[in-house]
Amino acid sequence: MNRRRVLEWVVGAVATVIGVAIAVPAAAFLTFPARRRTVTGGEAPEDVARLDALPEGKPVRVSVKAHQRRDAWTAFSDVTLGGCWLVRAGDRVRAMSTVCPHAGCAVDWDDKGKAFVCPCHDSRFSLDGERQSGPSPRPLDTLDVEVKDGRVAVAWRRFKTATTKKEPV
Amino acid sequence: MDRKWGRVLGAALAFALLLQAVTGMLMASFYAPSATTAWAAVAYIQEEVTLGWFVRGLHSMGASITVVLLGLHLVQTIASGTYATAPRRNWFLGLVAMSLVLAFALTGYLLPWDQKGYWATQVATSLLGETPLVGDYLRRVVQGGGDYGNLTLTHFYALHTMLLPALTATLVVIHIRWARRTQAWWPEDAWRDAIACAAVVAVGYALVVRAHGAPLEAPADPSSQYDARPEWYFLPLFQMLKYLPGKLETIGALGLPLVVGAVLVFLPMASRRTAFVAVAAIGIGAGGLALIAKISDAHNEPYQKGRARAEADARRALALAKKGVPPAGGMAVYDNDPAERARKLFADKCVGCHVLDDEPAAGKGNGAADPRRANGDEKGPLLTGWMSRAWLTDFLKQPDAPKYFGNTKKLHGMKPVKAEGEELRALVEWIYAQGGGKFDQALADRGHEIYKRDDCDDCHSDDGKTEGVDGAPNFAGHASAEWIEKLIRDGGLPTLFSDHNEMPKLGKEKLSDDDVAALATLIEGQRS
Repeated sequence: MNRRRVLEWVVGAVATVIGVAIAVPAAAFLTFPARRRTVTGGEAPEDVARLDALPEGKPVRVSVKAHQRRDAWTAFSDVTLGGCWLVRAGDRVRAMSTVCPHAGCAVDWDDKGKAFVCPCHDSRFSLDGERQSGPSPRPLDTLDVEVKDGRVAVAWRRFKTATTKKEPV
Repeated sequence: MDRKWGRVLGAALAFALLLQAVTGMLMASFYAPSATTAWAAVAYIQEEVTLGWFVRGLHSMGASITVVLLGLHLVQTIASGTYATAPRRNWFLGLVAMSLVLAFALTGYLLPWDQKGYWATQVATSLLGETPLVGDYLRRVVQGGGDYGNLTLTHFYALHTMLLPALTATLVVIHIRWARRTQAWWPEDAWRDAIACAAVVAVGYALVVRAHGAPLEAPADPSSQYDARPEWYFLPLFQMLKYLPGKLETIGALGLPLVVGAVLVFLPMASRRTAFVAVAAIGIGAGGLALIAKISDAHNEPYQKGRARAEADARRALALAKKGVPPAGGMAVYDNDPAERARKLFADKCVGCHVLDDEPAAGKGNGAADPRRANGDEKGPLLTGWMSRAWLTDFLKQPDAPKYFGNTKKLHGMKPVKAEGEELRALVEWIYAQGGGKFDQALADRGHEIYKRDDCDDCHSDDGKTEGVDGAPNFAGHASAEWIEKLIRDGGLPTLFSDHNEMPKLGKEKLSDDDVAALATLIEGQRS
């Protein structure tokens, strides 16, 4: 090998070392959010209503707020996570996300037609969330409910839309 | 210096700038430039993100390395005679690029929105504002208004990460193209340049690891006492400002850099000897001033005390930031401290009826009591030193004094105790002992005898069950944190002040359990 080839190898080797020395910490730094949850809080059921304030068999819309929520560096309190419909039957309460499983619009209650109606693409659901008509691939998404000491708490979740299976995002 | 190796300084400098761009871009993906988010985001980078301390440290150390290489490159250009033989336009271009690098340092210092950056940059923008004629206008443009705030950060951020990089990159590329190389760069010079770049990385990494990254101070507090210092490369200017009073200050701060700049501009016309003397004079002058600044700080006791306080504040703020920073921004991190929160709650819920003067939080104010707290006719008893031995001793002698129960409407009629001296001390000890903490058992036992002998138990009880006469509280657990919590929730309990209670109840809808506990801790703390 002549001097020129050797020098070329030296430059290549040194450049590679420098590149790796910079790329490794840079990659570790940049991929941090892929390895760690950066938004936390609101997973547990949050208080939304008094049981005796809910009428029998008529849906009531409430918004679910996270008492504490951590978004990267900020610690929020009382952050609105989303809305849900509550339907009371005696001591039991059914909670359904207001997010339409079809394309994510907010489902409304049509009191005359006694059905949930999506204003975007006209999907219709019965009082217990079963799909009656329209493009929605599945029933309304139910949410976990806790009824304790006369208070109703709901664990709000967002689910993938446009799929037949209900999967958390 | 060997000419061939001397030339690597330019390459090393360009590489250092490139490294700054890389670390800068990395941090930009985790940073948010606003007065409420900047400090919290940098604290997050520093404490939470993998190798965040290292990346940020490298960016900070990289700035110093760049300035050093800039100086060496300048000296080498003169020492080798290149400054005179190379195209003159490239000399000028280099000088412009140099001032841009210093502008980088100036704008980057503010971005963490910590004490150091905030106060040091205040000095810089004040000086800018003193520029004749256009100063105030310029200052308002640069800092995005008359006051520091969101727009100051967005402006500095845009300058630091967009305008300056674009300009500098353009100038550096042209500067390199105009630099004439006498022989083929590849691979004869390239391998030396590569080694030099590797050295920059190695030195940078070593220094960052040794220094454990770059310090982040407490969030910017416009109300605090802070003795600002610039980065080391601005120390000569800082020191000079001390010598120049009033109008001269403006002339010095803006004029001297201009003079130095002018000298450098005309350097290519000077002989190598003259040029060398000029640069050496600037270097020695600047170095001397910086040295004086360092030495006088080392012997400046108030400054050193201020440093120690600033470091303690920084540690406290960073520890509290682990719980997340409230949306109100950096300073709100202190609300994560239960004691701090309790003081705010006290100011919100209790002031008006009660007085509690105590030391303000560390690093805030000068230790004086908050003058807003007392107005002299509080309805409830004084809480400063509440239920401490000194408070009890004074109280037992004059329970109906205005600072105790003189201004309450229903809680009245307790007679001053008759016990004196040792007997009074014993009685105080027994009452104190009911709330827990360290006490003298023998003395307290003696106090209990006096409590019975002097008929205190005609009205009071100490079994935790019996309701007292005319609101005389039961002494069981008296003044413990738990007892205080009960009192805050409902002072009308039979074992507390029963139907003589005048303090508003603070139920769960008004105060959370955490808040009540924080308040109780604050007040219980007055006993010791």
